[in-house]
Amino acid sequence: MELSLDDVRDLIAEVGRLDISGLDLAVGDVRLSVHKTRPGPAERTGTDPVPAVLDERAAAAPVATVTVEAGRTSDGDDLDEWLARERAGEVLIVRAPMVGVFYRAEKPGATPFVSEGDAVTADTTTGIIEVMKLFHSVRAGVDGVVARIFCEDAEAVGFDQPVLAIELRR
Amino acid sequence: MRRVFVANRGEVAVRIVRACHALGLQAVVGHSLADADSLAVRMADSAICVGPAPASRSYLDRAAVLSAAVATGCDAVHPGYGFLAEDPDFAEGVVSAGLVFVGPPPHVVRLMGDKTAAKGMASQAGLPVLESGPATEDRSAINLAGLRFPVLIKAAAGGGGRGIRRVGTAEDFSAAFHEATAEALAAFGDGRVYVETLVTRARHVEVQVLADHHGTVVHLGDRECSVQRRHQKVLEEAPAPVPNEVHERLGRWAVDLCKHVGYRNAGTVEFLYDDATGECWFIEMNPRLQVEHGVTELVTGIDIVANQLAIATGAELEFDQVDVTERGHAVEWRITCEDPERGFLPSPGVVTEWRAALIERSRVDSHCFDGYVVPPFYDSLLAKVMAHGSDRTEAIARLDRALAGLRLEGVATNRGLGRRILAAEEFRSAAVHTRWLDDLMKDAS
Repeated sequence: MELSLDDVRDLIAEVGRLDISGLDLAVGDVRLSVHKTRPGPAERTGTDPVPAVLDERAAAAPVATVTVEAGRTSDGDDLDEWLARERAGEVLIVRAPMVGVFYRAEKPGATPFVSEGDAVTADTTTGIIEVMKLFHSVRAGVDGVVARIFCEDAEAVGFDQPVLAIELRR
Repeated sequence: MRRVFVANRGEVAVRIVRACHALGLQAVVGHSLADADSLAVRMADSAICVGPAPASRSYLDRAAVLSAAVATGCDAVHPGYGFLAEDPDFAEGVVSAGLVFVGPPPHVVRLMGDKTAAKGMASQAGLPVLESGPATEDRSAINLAGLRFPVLIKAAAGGGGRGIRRVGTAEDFSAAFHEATAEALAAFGDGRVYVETLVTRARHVEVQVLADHHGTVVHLGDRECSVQRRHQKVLEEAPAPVPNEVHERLGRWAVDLCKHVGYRNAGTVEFLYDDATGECWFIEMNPRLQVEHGVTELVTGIDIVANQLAIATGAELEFDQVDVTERGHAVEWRITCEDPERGFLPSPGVVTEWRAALIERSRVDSHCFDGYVVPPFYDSLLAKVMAHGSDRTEAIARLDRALAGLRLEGVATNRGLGRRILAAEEFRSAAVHTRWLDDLMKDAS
């Protein structure tokens, strides 16, 4: 069984409607936790970012976090294959230069900086990482083509975690 | 509180994960690249890499640790001991980010972290303190404070035995001043040091406290930690083998100090005790969990880490001072990968075999396992081996059996030193003081 973005949205809405405090669910590689909680300062979570200014309605809105097991992409790709291709010199794996939240686009809903299949140069911004409200660009580092993107928008990434794979120009 | 970020490593990270799970809380471990396959990471609900191996870029990186806690959806941060546990800026950052800091309020962390300010507060609260003054290179402070040699130079910004130097005579002062300053700067990012009267034959006795956010402050009895190698504790016991009157005095003073500064959560108030004169002096307070907290847990039956988490959620302490009872005696030896054949040089490597002995009433807190690679970037603590007995003699005997039966191969350890100390007549008759072990080892070499 797989969890689509629509499923996540539906689950969040359900928790909001029902008289339950929350729901913890594990499906394959994905763990979803949806809980009604007091709002904190701006949190970017899962696929439903909570705005910085919260009104009465939003105060009761459930907060969702979606985490994906490190080492696997969200559609179940095996990272080991890509690491092997990197060792063979075919691709470069771009890794998170610091721990934080990885964003694929400048703001929610905007066009991602890069998508699979895009040509990039060493200076191309492939994403941004937020560390306590400070934003850092993640550059491609090499010329090539984006072969695989391992992270979702607004995903927590650890230091050195693979973020994307770039097929090197020969 | 649902999900706690464990901002630490090694055995204390394992300890905190255990306490979280015992309370039905999720634990997320923030680890460095070098600790990616550690026991705490394996036990946690999830983990995130906060930085490369060097502590300054991982466990000590406030922004990295904080952003990891926020990014993983945690609502609380437990800082453990060491690293950022006594960093008031970190505590403030946690609170500003809307998370709960499992410890005292940031301003109290700041107050107690400044050792000279803490002495001032202790004095105000009626605790006796040693004469001291700021240290400057030209020794002028010593005359100002009315002190006479020998004196102690101590770091103002932190404890844990770092940034301390004994100075026998005026000639030795300059070198000691520079060493202490450099060490303090490296350990705490703050090279300020102060000068204090040296009590030549002192025992280190400390009191464990717990305070909730509803006005309850209790102490959980004391511990003696006089067996130290170069100001680092290696053997601790609870309760301290001191007269009842001393227990009562220290316990009362510890609670008085906590009430005076508005202390919350767990902490330890440290004293020096001169058993020849019966005098005691406050030396410092550690506003955090202590490494040796386990011996207090063994004699009181109270889970200190679980209480830290409960207090942090706003819960009331479930017991009063009258409910705190101590049964029997507990002793702990800190097993480190220091090689006795090479002057106790930290000697990391691979723990090829690890198995704790199954001794009645013993407890081993460790992050080791078969095949564990001890990283060279952090301290050398491998395990805390503890034993409880109905009296001190029984506890000592059990700890010795636990040390003898511990299977630990692959790295050199200080286990033999532990057994020697447990067998030593002065230790068995509780006639040790803080210089005892250093003197013993100097004589032996």
